Amino acid sequence: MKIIRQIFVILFFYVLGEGIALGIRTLFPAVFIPGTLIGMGLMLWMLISKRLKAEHVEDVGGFLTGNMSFFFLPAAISILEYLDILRSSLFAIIAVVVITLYLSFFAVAYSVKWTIAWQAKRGVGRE
Amino acid sequence: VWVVNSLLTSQAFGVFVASGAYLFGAFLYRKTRFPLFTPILVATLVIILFLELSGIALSAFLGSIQSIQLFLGPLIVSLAVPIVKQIDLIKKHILPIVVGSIVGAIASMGSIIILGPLFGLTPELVASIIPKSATTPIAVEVADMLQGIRSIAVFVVVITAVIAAVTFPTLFKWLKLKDPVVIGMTFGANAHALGTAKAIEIDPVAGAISGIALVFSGIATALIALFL
Repeated sequence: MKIIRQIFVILFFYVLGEGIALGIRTLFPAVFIPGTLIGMGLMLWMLISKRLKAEHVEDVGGFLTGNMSFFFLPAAISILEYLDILRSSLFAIIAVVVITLYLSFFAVAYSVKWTIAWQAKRGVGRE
Repeated sequence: VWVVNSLLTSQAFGVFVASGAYLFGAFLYRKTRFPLFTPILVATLVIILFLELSGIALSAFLGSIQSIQLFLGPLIVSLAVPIVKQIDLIKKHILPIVVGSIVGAIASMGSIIILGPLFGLTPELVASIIPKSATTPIAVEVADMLQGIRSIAVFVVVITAVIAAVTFPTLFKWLKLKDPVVIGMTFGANAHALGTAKAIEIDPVAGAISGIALVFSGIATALIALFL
């Protein structure tokens, strides 16, 4: 019962988010907002405002997010269909991934470090 | 023969093989803690090997594990659960979290948009690589949105995370970066779930921050992608 209720609640927000996204797309065809993120935002808002209790979603939600990569096996295995593309561009793909990964490493590490230092200087964000 | 075939292409058998392969990957990772043995990578290789040996066609097998994909949407919705559990930590570090997520998403996506074509990648491939720093469910959705290839996006997301998990700890040491918020943000915004697993090993606070960063930078990636 408990699990079924949690599945129902999570699917409720999923369907609601997709419904809203569909509405937005119908009214403004140029705007595309993923319904799943709208659903997440709504569920988060309900959880933070305590209208929805964590115990009504946390087992199923924790199971899904805690074992995330399992649900990507179908997409990962489909890579077999794209082996030709992959083989011809593998070096370029890896090169772009590696270079941009380290660019982004420095961007995140130092923007966060400087933000923390800036906050400390202004005397906020301290314990 | 027909009876055996109908079993081998049934949903139950497909999910049985997939979860077995995944468990094996998880076991290998737990024993070795070596990022290359991340469950999804090991499971993919095991299944590919299994398909080769058994002669089951890829399309038939994909059909039999379709039901797993049903959970992708609800999975993104469920990302609200880890956020709400860490709400106090988020409130305490809200500015560095937001800054790091947005800066990371812009740096990663922007540099791919510029470098991709320079390395001769087709627009389709660039679109598949753009969300590489986002958590897989969001990366797949963004790749779809930009007309990329879902499975290439998954591949890129996984290798990104593996490279980050292997090399980031050494980089932190060299650069003398010790603040758990810096470490957590850098892992979460670049290497999502696998990075978070590594961050937890370094410091529990870094792990928690990384788990938060993964969701925030996923959202930032999706929102920025709306304007591409």
